[in-house]
Amino acid sequence: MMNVIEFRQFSKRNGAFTLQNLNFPIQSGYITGLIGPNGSGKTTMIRSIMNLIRPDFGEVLVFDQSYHNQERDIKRRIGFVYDEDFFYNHLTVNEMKKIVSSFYPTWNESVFRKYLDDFQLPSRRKIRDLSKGMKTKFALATALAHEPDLLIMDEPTSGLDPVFRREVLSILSEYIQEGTRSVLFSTHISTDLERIADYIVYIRNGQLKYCGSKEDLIDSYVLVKGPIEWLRLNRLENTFSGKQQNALGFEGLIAKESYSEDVFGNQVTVEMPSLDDILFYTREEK
Amino acid sequence: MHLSVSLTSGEPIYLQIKEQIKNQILTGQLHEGELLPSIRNLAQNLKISVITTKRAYDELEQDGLVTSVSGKGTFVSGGNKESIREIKYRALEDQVRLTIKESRSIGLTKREFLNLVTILYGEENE
Amino acid sequence: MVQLLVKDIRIQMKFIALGFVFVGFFFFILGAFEGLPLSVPAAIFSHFLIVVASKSDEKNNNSRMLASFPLRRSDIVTAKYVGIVMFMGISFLLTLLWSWLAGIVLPAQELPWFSTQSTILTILILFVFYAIYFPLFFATGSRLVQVLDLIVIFSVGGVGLLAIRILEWTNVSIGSSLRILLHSNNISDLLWALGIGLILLLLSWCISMSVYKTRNL
Repeated sequence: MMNVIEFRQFSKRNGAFTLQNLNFPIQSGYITGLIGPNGSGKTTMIRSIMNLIRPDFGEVLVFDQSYHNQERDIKRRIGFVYDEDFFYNHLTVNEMKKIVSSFYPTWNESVFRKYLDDFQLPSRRKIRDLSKGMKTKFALATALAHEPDLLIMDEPTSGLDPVFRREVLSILSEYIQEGTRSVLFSTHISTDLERIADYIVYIRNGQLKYCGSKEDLIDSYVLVKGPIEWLRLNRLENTFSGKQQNALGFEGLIAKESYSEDVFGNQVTVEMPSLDDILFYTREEK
Repeated sequence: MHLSVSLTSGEPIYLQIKEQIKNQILTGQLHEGELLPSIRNLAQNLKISVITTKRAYDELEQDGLVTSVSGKGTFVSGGNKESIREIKYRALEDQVRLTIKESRSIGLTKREFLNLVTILYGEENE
Repeated sequence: MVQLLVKDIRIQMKFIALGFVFVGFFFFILGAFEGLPLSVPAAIFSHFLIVVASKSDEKNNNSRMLASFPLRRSDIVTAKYVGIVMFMGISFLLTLLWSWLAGIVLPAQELPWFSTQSTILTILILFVFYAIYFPLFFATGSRLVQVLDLIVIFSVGGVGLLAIRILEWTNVSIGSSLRILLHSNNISDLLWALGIGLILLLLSWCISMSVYKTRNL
């Protein structure tokens, strides 16, 4: 299987935290979700992939190419959407489009028009007068219009209404239909990923916690709920990755290999965890 | 082919897809040799992950219910339908046996038991 | 590269038009700065364009956007330096256009004029200014950009005046030699100075390149 992005012994010190010796690939042809608590390094990682941030050590390969000598070739094949304003605010949608399109030889005007219509973006409106959601739509339209092989998005669905979030998800799954294009997006809204992501990259405090398929990640844990007395009697507290308790009972996450029906019995209920459960209960795990 | 998935049921999505396709094959809604939608196409339509869909197809293939031909797609395979139904039939027989045992233990007569079955069957299936 | 220059013009079409009107209004219709050479409004005009173009590249994370386009960092730096020449060309041409338009209705001797000395001197001043401005611009980015031009003007002006005062104290008559240069009719002297200005600009370009290549955006 081919990699679209590969971190190789990548280290970068950035203010409060350090991305430490990251070594992992991102599969080509799929949707990969980048998750982790706020301040864990998601944005730094995305900027490193875009070569906006230079590593202290190691490198990031994109399309198996290096930024040392292939910067323009790589970036021609990437579409990007960031979680911030990055267009010239005083220009209209149409004026800005002319500038963006001039940088991409593969710009497809009819694709752009289609998204403009679908998103109901007014082409003569100034960018500063667009709402946050409309700015994201415009960014997505320009990112897709040059038909990139890789779409990179930093928190694209934050600040969007549920209707458009759904719309984005279906655009993404249509986009990877051929099996040759890839999507990487960071988000803290894990329900978006729950549905659509094929692979998950989970980072915490600048370190890689997990990299693999979403199915395997969710499959590797079970969520256990039960009465507190049970917890006390069975002395199983240390097998939990994380747990929470109150007067009515406890809920906790356990790695699947440490769980067995014989030990846990039928006093507890066992469920499949959600991504949120995993993020929440593993937040302090070593 | 009709499929629908629920994100809130707590049941893994791949399992939901697998069971639904399996049932449609067993009940004859999907015919032998019929071409299933491609993995990516199904994922797009259900707005779910490609890997999830692939897993459902892989498990169906392991069970012998479908065959994938590289470059052409995934087809409903023939021949296994009878044996699968047989297996299901046996499992059902076991369950009924168990139920009869239970009904005896609370002193139900055969007539009363059959009455119960008739009532429940009628309610659920009309 | 070319796209970057076209982009610089696109993002300030309005300012170019505004500057054009401004030059005509103040220098030809109001007759302000009477007796000054035409290179003065042209210099103000081009400075205005160059600084506005750089400022808008650092507002709103625009530098991040540019660096995400299929460009090398060196393209972005080089385009800024080529932009100096381009915008100077545009503003001198537009000012020339005004003087030609004004020449149709007004008698030629009452109009401001382009003299070779003043033009070369103006270009020299702009070169030196940008040779200092751009390395700082590329090093500090959005943190200082809104006031950077003022900082450079005042600190260079201050340092310059201080230097002249000190030299006068030590009895070197720098003031008079400067005056000679300013009123020099010897164009070859001025061309020499312009050459030095160009070298400064080239050096500045090298510094900007190395600064911007390693910067985190």
